[in-house]
Amino acid sequence: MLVTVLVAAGLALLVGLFFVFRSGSDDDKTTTVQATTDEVGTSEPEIERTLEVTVRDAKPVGGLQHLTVDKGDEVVVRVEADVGDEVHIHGYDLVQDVVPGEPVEIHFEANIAGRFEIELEDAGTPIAELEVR
Amino acid sequence: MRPGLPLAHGIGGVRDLPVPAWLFFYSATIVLVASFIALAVLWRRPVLERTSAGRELPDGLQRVLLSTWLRVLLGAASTAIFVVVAVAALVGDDHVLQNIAPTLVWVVFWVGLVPCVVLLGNLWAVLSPFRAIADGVAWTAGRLGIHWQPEAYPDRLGRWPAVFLLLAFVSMELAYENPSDPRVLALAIYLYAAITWLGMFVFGRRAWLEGGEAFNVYFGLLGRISPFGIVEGRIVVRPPLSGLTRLEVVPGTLAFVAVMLGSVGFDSVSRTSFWLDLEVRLGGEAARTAVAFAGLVGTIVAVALAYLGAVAAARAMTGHTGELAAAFVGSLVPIALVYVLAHYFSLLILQGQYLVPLVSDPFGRGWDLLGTAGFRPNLAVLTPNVVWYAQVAALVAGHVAGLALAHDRAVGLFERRGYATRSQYAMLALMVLYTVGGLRLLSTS
Repeated sequence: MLVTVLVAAGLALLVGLFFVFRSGSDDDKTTTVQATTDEVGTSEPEIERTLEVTVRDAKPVGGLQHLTVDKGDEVVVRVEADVGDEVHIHGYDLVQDVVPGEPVEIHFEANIAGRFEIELEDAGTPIAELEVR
Repeated sequence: MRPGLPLAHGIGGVRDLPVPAWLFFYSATIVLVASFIALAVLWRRPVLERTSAGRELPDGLQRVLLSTWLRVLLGAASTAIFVVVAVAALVGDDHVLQNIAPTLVWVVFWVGLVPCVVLLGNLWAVLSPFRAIADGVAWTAGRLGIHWQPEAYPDRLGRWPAVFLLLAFVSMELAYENPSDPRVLALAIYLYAAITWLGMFVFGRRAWLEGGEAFNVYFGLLGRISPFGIVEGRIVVRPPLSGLTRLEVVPGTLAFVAVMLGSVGFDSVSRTSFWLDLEVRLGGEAARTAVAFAGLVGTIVAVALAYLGAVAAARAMTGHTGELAAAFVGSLVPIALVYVLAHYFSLLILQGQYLVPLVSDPFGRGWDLLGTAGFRPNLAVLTPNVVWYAQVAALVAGHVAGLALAHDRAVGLFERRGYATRSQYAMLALMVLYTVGGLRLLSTS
């Protein structure tokens, strides 16, 4: 009897808490969505987000660069390096050569959610991190 | 543009988004509530231990499943796959997604076999090509009249050879920069096969499989969670988890479980932005590998010390003077399992899809054997919500399973109920630490 009561009370508590916790987070979410999409006028919102990385001595200037975008955004990754290498965006598996003095731009639509490393392939050095929510 | 190498950790280019803060706090609350309920209401006599003998499957089924011809058939099939992997790794295309070896090793074998083993028992014991080939050689030698007497396997070695081989394997996965490179994989496969066959030759097949073949020990431990097992040569059905109460804790067992738990824990650490930042600052490849290896070993040691600390606390609280460290090792196995599931669930679903095109063109020669070479994997198939709920559910379930096992052990060990409960405070704290720590890592960006 005690067992049943305790288990039932525990479950009720957990279900109740689930909604309390979750609704709290939903409020945050709606405000951030409004903030990022306030200037949408057309039927197809196209937001372009740029991630710029400058590489010196095979290291990103200012440490690992971060960019967080929403799923569906257009993303431009611009890399300027002082060495010849390949820029590789993991997950999306996009690769482009970069040569010293000539910045390279990779355009794509962020349609896979997750976190993705952007790496200088030959040096094996991570230079940036893209987060798609 | 051509596809690049989705490397980093074993294989796989998509990292999961961090579990949102609210879900972390919510699941940590579940863990605490479940723990307190468990303390109050769990059984007072060992239940799992008593039922672990299980019930035998019907005779007819036993004969078929344990028959020599089925074993020969499965052995031949697994040997064929092993040969394909060994050849592909050595001479196939050197690109990770144009060669079947990395996907078969890191996704199908290392991750995909885990849920199968947990549902059906240690299938690797039957499927292992190392064993199948050794059995074949021994049978042929016997036919030719060649006999040799293996050395006696020293008892004090226990599972230690398997501990070091597993550590070597996870170091390659998590500390080395290019674990999916087919040539690197080839070297690892040939080296491991040579060590395994040498061990079997010197100490006998059975002794090496139980103490030295890391994957047999790994899948053997996880297989004890399964409701199916082999007891005294017969296949039995038993309550899930109960197989772990029969675990013989020979030397090296705790170390082995610590490597299982610690390696996945370190993989979580090494995927955080903090660790990536650290790597960037270090620069060179050799420095990165060394630091990653140190981090891996450090995490494993931390996991083991936390366990030993909890055992010492339990000993102090109960006045128990006997061996306690061995008693609760089994209860860590479900936690190791759910770390793996939570961590590699998305990898299995996403990266596993690459198997479809690869079976048609295993060596990257432009073949299309089954007409599936043109299949394009859909990496957007999982939504973050699905991944988060699966991760949290797995960790909480593992916590409850670990608790139940530790409790069962405690009521078996301590006759006075008060002692059993007292010994459980420390174990409970340890499990909460492991689970909430695992959740924390999953929610760290």
